[in-house]
Amino acid sequence: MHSSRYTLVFTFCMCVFISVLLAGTSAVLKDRQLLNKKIDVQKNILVAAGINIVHVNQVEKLYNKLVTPLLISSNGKIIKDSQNEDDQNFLKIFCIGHKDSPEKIASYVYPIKGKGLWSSLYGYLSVNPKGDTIIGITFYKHGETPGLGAEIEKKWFRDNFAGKKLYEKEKLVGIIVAKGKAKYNINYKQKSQSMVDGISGATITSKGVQKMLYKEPLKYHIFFNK
Amino acid sequence: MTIKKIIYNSIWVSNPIAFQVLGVCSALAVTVKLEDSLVMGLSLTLVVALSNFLLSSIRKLIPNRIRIIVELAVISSLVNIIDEMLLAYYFEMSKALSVFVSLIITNCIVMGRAEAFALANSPVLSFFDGIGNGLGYAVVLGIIGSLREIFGSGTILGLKVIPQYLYDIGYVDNGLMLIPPAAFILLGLVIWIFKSLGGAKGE
Repeated sequence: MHSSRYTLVFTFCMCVFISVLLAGTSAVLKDRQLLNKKIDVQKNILVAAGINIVHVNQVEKLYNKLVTPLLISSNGKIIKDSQNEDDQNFLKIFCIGHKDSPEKIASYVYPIKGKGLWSSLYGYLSVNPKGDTIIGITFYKHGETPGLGAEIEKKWFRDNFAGKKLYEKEKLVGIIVAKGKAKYNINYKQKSQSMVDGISGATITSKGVQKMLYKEPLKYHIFFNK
Repeated sequence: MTIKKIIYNSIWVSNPIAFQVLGVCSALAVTVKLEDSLVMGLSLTLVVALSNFLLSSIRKLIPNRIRIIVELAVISSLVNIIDEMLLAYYFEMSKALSVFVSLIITNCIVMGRAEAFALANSPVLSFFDGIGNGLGYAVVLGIIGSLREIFGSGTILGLKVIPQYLYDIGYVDNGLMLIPPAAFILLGLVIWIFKSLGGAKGE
C-alpha cells in the first residue's frame, strides 16, 4: 500500500504532466488543423455545388477561381462590405461561377444547420440561380450513429437530393424525407418532385434533415424572390 | 504464458463479448454495416493495445487507491492525442472516425483489460493481450455486422449480394435487422454458438 503522501504527489504530477502534454499537442498542431478545416469547408462548398474534386490539392485553386462569398441583409440585399463578416444579422451565401466562364452564375450555396438524434447537423445546400431546385447537399459535421444517422453524409443519401424542388408553385414547401424508400410512400405520386429516400432505423435524423430543409431555405426566401 | 496462447485465449476462450460480456453497447450501436463494424473493431484493437502497454509500464508506480482514475486519465489522454494527430495529418480519416472516438473512450473493454490484465503483467504481454481482445471484439462485430448488412440491406461492404430476381419475386429486406433489437438477438445467438462449439468458457 502506498502512503497518502505518495498518492497525493503522484496525482499532482500526473495532472501536471497530462495537462502539459495535451495542451502542448493541441498548441503544436493547431495551425495545421485550422488549415485542414478551412480546406474542408471549401471542399464541402464545391462538392455541394456538384463540382468534381479529384485531389485535395485542387480545392484551394478551384475555390478561389469559382467561389465568391457574399453577405445578404434581412431584406435580401447583397452587402459588399466584408467588414461585417461575423455580424449575426447577415446571412452568408456563396456564389458559384461556371467552370468555364466564372463570371456567369451556376449556382448558390448556403450553410444549413439542424438537429439530428444526438447532435447538431451542419452542412451546405446548393441551389440553382433561381433558388427553387436543389443541386447538391453535403454534411460536414455531425455526431450521429455510424451505419444509421451517419448515413446522411454518404453518397447515396446526398445524391438523392439532386434535382428536387424546394418550391411548389412559388410557395416554399421544403423537402419530404420519406420513411425508407420514397417510391413506396403513399404520397409519392403527387410529391415525387420533392420527396427523397429516408434512412431506415434513423427516423429522427431523417426528420431533422426534413425540418432543416424547410427552415433554412426560408431564411433565403426573400433573397431569391425579391 | 506465451503470446500465442494469450491471443488464442482472448479471441476464443474468453472472448471479450461472448465470455466477458464487455463492450456490448457499442457492439449493438455500430453493427448495422460491416464496414463500420470493422473500423470500430480495428480502432479499438489499437487503443486497447496501446493503453495496456502504457498502463503496464507504469503499473508499479500507480497508487492502488486511485488506480481507476489513473487508468481513465491515461486512456482518455491517449485517445485525445491520437484524435488530434489524425485531425492534423490525416484529416479525411479523422472525419470518418470522429463518431467512433467517443464510443472507444467509453468502451468497457479498454478499462476491463487494464484492470484485469495490464496492472498485473509485463508491458509486452499486456500489449498482446490488448491486440487479442481487440481482435476478439472485432470478430464478433464482424459476424453480427455481416449478418445485419446482408439481411437488412441486401449488401455486404456496400456491394449487392442478394440478386435482383429474388426482389422481383417478392423478397423484401428485413427492416428489423437495421434496429438495435436485431443486434441483441444475433449477439445472443453468437454467444450460444461460441459456447456450443467449446469456446467462451473462460480460463
